[in-house]
Amino acid sequence: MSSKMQASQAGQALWSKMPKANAELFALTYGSLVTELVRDYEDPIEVNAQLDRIGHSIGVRCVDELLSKADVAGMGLATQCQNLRDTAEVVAKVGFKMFLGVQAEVGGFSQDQRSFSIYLQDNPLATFVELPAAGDEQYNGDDLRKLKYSNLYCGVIRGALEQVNLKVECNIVRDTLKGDEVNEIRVELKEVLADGAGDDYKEE
Amino acid sequence: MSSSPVLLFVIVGKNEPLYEAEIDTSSSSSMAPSNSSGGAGGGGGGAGSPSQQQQQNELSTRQNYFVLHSALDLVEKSVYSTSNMYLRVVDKVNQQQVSTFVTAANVKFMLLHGGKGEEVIKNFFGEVYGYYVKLSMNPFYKYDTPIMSKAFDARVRAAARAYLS
Amino acid sequence: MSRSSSNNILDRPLGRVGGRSTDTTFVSLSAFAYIYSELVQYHQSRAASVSELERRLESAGYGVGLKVLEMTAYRTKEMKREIRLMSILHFVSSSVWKSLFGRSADSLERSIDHADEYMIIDYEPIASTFVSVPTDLGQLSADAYVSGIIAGVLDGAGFAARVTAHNVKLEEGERQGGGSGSGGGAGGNAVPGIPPRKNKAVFLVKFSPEVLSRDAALER
Repeated sequence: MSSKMQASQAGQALWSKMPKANAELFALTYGSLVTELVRDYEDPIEVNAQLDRIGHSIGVRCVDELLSKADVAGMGLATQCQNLRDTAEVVAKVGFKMFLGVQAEVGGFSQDQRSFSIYLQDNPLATFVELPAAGDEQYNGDDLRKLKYSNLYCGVIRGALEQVNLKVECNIVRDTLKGDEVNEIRVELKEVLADGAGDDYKEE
Repeated sequence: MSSSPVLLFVIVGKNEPLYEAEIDTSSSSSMAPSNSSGGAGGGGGGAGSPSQQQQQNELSTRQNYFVLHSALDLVEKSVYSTSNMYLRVVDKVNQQQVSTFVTAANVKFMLLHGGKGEEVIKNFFGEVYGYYVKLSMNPFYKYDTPIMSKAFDARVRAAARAYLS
Repeated sequence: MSRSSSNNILDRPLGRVGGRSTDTTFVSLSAFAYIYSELVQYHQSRAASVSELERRLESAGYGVGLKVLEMTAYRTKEMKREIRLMSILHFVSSSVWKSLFGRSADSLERSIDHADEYMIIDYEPIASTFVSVPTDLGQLSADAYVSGIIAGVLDGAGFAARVTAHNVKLEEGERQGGGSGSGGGAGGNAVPGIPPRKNKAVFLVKFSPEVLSRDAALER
């Protein structure tokens, strides 16, 4: 319970110190990457996989930035991530906040405490996006219903948690681009990797 | 005023129309005006049998396009003579007038009408421009390509009814 | 029942007028840098040569420029278009620059040698915005991407031009490190750990002959 407070305070503190860039340039640049992938790989499932792969490479790097900046600020988040609940809080309240300036929420823990959801109200990746309608000639609009535009997040979370020895599976299960009221990313713990920091990780 | 209650709104890109909508403002009820096949379902209760009216509609539709097309030539000639986006009425044929708005990237909004107020039309164009800009920020929307967004279509029609009825 | 429609982008407000930094929304520079760096790497993986990579990034920037043009013009709320050559250049070096990098470019100059060439000069913020990209690709890619954005803005507005970026050594006494007191806020000026630049970025804009003659005709 106190970790909730701490995480969102830490997120806010780190965000306020981050150098900033224009959110529109950010969204348009990501948009340029996604549409390029859509052109190059016709199958949206493959585009999703590429976005996940790209996100993974970002996640691996940005977790280092997060931990070191938190460390410098004396927040000691690494020791705070003692269980999946706390880790989830850090991903949502520190990670999303410090990099994107948006607040994400955590919820929907499964009974076995091995899976949870991250809820995102504002999605900076998709600020201007409307998926092409069925029958749009430029894109195969029907197929693009299968596109997970923001699948990058899944890769980022997967890559970041892998660095702290948590192997997870990640899926976008609700998407405002498809008419859902919120963006929901489902995260499921598959395995606690044995080595280094993961040793003192308690699964409960 | 014998002007037709039907408005024709067209967005024109570099070489071709990108979007068009025929909007019947005669009835305030929520009919669904269609820009295909002569809008026979309008039910705009008027003179003549349905078939007669349909013929009439098709005739005027063709005339309308003709008027818009000739107005476009005039617009092209005047785009670099004013820095205003709103060009007001650029052409008049009989009862029909063509008002035009040119965006920063030279996309033309053209409205064929029977003599609406200049301010009202300016406000309509201004609102449509907002929708157009948001549409054009979509990574999936490529500049100067046909506009397929249903949401955009709905907003334009609603704006037309709000400002031009 | 109209619930879902409120999620549509067309119903959301479009930021604020004038590009003041307080009105714009931000993400962290790191987040932009991660994405941008992935964009560069993706294009690199598909390009057979450095020049093809440049062309690809220019083309990506060009599409962004067309969008930025309408957005920036709309935000001024003046409902004006730029129809003169000098005014579109000012629009790029001030309004567009502000909306992308949080501050105006440092200067806009006409080439002494070539009447059809203009230079938009910037000392710092662009380089730091794009700094995360690995080593030498950083400068190359930022040059190409930003050149593409500028070309997209100009071409969209009806001023077809070839835009190229050049690194020019700072002359003696020329100011360094973009200390422009404007306190532009947005761009990650003075990012810690990045040595001050010894070069300035010069974006050379070469207009097409038709554009020049049209503009000359308006002079009369």
